[in-house]
Amino acid sequence: MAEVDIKSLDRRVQGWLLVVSLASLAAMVVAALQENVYPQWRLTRLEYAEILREKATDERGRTVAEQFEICLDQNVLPELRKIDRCVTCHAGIDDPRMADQEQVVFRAHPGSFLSDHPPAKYGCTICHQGQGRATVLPDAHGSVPYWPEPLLAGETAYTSCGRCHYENDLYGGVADLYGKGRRVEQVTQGELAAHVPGAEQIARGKRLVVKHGCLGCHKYRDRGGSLGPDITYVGDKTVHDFDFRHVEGPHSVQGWMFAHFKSPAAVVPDTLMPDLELSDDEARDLAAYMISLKRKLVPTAYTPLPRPVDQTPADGHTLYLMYCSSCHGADGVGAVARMSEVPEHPVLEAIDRPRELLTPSLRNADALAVASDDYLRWIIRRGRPGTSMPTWEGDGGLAEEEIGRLVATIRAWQADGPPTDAISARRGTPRFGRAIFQSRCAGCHGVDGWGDHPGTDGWGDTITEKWGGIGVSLRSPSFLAVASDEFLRDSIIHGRPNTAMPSWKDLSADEVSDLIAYLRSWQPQPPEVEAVVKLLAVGRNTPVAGVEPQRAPGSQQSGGSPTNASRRYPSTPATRIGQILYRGHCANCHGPDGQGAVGPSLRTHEFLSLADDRYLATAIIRGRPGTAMPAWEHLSTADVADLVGYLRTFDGSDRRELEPWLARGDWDRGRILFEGACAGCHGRYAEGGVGPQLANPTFLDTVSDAMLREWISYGKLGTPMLPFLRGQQGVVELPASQIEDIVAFLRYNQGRPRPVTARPGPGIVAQGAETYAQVCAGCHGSQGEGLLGSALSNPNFLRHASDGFLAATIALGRDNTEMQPMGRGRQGIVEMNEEDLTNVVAFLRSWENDPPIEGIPPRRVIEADPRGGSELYKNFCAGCHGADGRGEWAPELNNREFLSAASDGFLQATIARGRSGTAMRSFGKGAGGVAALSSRQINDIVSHVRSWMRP
Amino acid sequence: MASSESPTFRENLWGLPRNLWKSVFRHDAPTSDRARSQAVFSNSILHVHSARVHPHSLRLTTTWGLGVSLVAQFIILTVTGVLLMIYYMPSTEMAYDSMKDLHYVVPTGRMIRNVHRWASHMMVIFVILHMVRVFYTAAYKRPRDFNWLVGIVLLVLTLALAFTGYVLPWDQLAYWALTIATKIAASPNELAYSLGLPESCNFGDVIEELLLGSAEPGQDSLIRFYTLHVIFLPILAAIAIAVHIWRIRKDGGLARPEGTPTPAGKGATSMAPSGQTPPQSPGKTYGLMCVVRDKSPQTGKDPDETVPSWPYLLRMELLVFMLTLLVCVALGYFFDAPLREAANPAVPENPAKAPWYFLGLQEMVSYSAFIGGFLVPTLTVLGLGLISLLDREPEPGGVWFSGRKGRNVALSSAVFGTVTAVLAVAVPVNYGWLREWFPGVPQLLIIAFNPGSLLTLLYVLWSLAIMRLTRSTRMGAMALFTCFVMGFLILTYVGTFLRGPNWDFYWSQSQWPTH
Repeated sequence: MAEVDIKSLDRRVQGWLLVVSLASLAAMVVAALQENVYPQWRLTRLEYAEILREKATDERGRTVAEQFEICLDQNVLPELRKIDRCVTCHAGIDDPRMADQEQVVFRAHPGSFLSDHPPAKYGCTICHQGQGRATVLPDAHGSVPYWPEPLLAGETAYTSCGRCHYENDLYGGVADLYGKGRRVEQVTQGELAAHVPGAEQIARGKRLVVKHGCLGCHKYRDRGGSLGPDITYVGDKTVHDFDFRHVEGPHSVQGWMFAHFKSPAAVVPDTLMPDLELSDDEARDLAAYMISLKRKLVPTAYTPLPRPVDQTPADGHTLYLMYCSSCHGADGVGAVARMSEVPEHPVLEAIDRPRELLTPSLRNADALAVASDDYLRWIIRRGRPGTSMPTWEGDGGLAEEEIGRLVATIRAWQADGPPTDAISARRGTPRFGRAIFQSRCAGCHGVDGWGDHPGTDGWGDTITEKWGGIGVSLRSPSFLAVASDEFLRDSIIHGRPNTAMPSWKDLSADEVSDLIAYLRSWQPQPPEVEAVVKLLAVGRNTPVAGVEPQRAPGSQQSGGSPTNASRRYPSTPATRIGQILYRGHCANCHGPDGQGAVGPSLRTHEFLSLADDRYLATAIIRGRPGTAMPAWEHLSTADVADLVGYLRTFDGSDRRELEPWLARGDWDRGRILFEGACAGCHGRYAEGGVGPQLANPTFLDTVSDAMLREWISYGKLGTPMLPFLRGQQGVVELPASQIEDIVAFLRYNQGRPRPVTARPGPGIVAQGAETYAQVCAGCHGSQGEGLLGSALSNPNFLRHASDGFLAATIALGRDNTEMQPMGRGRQGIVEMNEEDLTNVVAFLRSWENDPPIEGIPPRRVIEADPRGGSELYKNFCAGCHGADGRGEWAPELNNREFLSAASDGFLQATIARGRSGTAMRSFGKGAGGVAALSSRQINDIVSHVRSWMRP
Repeated sequence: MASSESPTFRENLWGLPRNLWKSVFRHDAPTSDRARSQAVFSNSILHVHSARVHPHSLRLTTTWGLGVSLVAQFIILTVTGVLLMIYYMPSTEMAYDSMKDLHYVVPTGRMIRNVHRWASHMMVIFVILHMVRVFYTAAYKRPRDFNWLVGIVLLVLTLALAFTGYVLPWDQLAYWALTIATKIAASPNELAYSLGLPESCNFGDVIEELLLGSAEPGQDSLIRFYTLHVIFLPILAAIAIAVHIWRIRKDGGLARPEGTPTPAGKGATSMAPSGQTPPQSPGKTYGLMCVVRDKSPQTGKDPDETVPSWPYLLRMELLVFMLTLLVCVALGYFFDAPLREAANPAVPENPAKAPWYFLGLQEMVSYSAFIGGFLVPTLTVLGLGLISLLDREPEPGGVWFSGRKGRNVALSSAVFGTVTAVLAVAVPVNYGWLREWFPGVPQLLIIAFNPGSLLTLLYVLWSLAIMRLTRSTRMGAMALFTCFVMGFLILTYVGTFLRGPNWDFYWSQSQWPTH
């Protein structure tokens, strides 16, 4: 071991010790000086003190300058748990003399913000961020690593308003204006810009969120889709929460947002976010708004209360824009075009669907024609699992009422339909109507309108089942007799929700007229009233020879209840035929002896003596639209003449000819009188009640003023109609002039449409319900929801069907359907008397305004052969919808929510008719699609699809 | 009782400064070696030194001044630490803000905090270097075996002090380092889970709860770590340091190679009273060296080869102290101690890393929490402690690597340790591990056979082979120690620089996917 030269070592140690000690000392002195004696802020404050002295022109200024200390200045904000030392350097921030100071650091704060937000209470960083505690420059402005809140200078400071104020809230108004001593008021964007320059950027960004439907994918306060991230507090994200690998611009939150909004896929390669095609300004606005969505982490004393009203957007259109437009397009035609510009769009790949089917167009006449409001509501509420359509009710956060508004908005896109007053059978041309019928209706109603009934469907296929078609028979004479033009018109235009009957609102008025004219062409030519009158004039005077001897036996055979009339008046063959016809067609309602039941009594002297032949014939041939009195157009002229002849046998007294008389009363006075004296029985608008309907165009056409006056004055014996003329012992006694007024009022009603009124029928609802439960519920469902029979508690149906239609259909049945005649003497399965009938009608009517069930449950009644349907499905549907209905090219059908929402009618109609604008072709007969499936086959497919619902 | 000799009150008043000085410093400024030795001997602070010291001990290469530097760091840390305590508030609400105020407002606060931070980092490094030096110069051998154990205790205490201090700023770094560290501490749970043991066997939970004082890091944890950092651990460390230094003297000063005489004379091994009695002992030994005039059994034997501690040793110690201070101040002047965002339990740091000295462990924890976080560190500490007891081959200390053979063993072990450690990282990074290769493998196997445990096993096998080959426990120990040091370095490097978010491998931080 080498010896150590201790002396030289020690010398070196001494030298180093000196050097190192001096260096340590120097380093510490330098550090101490730099930190304590010459920090940057001290120099800045010295400079400011100089400026203060220069500007000290008055006494106050000199005091300020003298009192200015070279020390740290700070705002201590214990409530905000902040200490802002910004004022150490920005000493002139609240000195108006510094407004135009050359050095930015000493310049006064622009605007009047500091008077509303005194720095002693609010500090600086609550708006401008940065690092309040720092006293050196880059740190204080926060643009250093590990400080999450860099300085917000200029307009960007408005993004901090959301820390306290609620008007950044997406659901609020455009902006609220606050100010000391003023009421909070809502302002427009222009006013906002005038009051608070720069703040309108946020307001613009907020509009963009609504306009582009951001909430379709993003949640804000628990409302919105869940494809994208929640944006409620997106402004709280710091620069560490973003991936800047694909961002070219500044690596700040603002920079990321801007780049992302300009081109989402470029910043986040696998994003689902579509390119909104924003301009640079718009992207900046949107970014600013997003950054302003911050948590309110300040004490409530700092947070102005939100305006209590208007927390939800008002109209369906705004709702649609907010939640739906990003996928379905602002105008409802589907947002596919936008996505198709990105050929490899991940949404397309993810869902593996062709573009045109990705987000269906809602503005599609076919879709809207078959989709009921209930269907739309259901799909919005429950979504369609497996597609990008989310559930909007629970997860999406929309309220029931808002969904209703959305449905209404979508429904509004449907064409209004042709003007109803321009439609009438007389204007139509049956030949055109036939062409329309073949292409639109024949698929379901059969080529000849017979519907599906045993026999042939007119297309050559034989139908053996009694039940199994789609559309009902339209051709039965009794139906055509009962159904008024108005009923046919409304059914065509509005369809029948929950059945396969679409609403054909895209037809023009002429086309509907043509169609009705074609339907009417199936009815035999109605007999001419004049011909009947002529025939009667002849027949009364000269009884037909050769029939005379059979009069007596005929009268004896003629009924179980021989009447005085038939005894007193020997029957002619004509009256015998009339009697047979009466018993077959009229006795149901008017009673076997014409004493009246549902229909008014026909055998009173007052009636028969006044009603001339023309009156009676017109009533028979044209019926009383809107009442149970059908138009018996298929009776021949002779039949009608015989019927009238038979009616005449009820009363042998001579016919009275009344003086021709025209009522010249005051109709308005008449209206008041009518309401007091007549409305109790005839209804306020003379629409009928216990008494017959008076405001009936056909009735008023044929009745003369004199007849009306006569009946009002003297009543109708044998009916509840009492005499009203003074001195006639009626309950009410009216002078003749007032009766004239009433007649004038009735006349006034002529030519005016019957007002639709909600009125209880004359029947007793509770008893009707009992009868309904016994007789009708088996087919129509206990709540009228429809089983084998059609749904009756269908407001749409009830609106268009008159009481008379209902009563007549019950009484007379419907040919070629399971609907049997229920009236007395019709050999139906049940015989209902007139009381039952009116009760049931009243019961049905009660559903119109008070539906027994909220929204009609989708009808699933089709009992067909799912196995046969399975074959058909494989051949016709599986190619697009997938073998198991899981969707291949076309939407998923094997989807619980979809099948729950779609009624059988919806499925039937969609298969039969297809959907224009999509790849769904029509498959029904006559629609010119790729196949011509019979109703039966379509039903088989529907039941196959329906079979997926079973677990 | 006045007397002519006794000074008057006035004289006492006048003489007060001088008398005070004399009462503290009993001697005048020493002018001779003897006087200086007397001073060292009679001064409670200086007397931890022997009065005379061998020149070999003064050579830089003997100790590199590491131990003295550590004492210097401890002193610096104590002083700056007490200053920091004046401003620091151990509450989760205020801790972070008080750090900011320290940095920006407190006079020279930034400097004090920086110096404290850098001194603590240096202390961790120097403790390890000091241990390495002691090991390779075989200075842990009898009779210094107990002092080695004290040194291991000090190693653990230093790491504990550093970590508890790391947590106090309550920033993101602190919060998530604490989270990670407690997860590591709770790693015995992993074994319990995979063995299917009942809940009651989750000792990890107990450890975690002991550390945190609650289920989540929070106020309870902060106050715990604060107390540990400012009272409990420093006192323990101060006691251990005192024992450590005292033992150096009692074990015969610094280890020296054979042939260099001890202050007590050639051939004397120890002045400790343990076991051997010095030859010709009169039954009472005054280890008072040359200060004592009387004839002592030891006197006269080469005392001249030694030099007085004052001034030579003291000056050198002062130099080391000032050097340490300079380094700390310079680092503190130029580099601020890190302070990230305020702790936010909702925003995890990714990657959440423990302080750098635990990153080797964290790297192993990434393979298996139990092996890396519990078994290997326990074995390491145990192994380090046992070295001094298992390697009892008589051998003079003070020679680096115990000669040429040792140098070769150390070198080859360094190569082996480096290569295997690199492989242990590279293979899983490039090819995956058991779970990727055999997806059905039971969890227990994955815990047992991971790169960390395999590396440990290889190191042990390697050292056993060396021991067999050289027939020397010292060589085996050297092989194992070298391997562990290299493994520690490599894994720490990987954990610090090459691991990014989700503990994925990245060549540099610029490749990290996030900002």
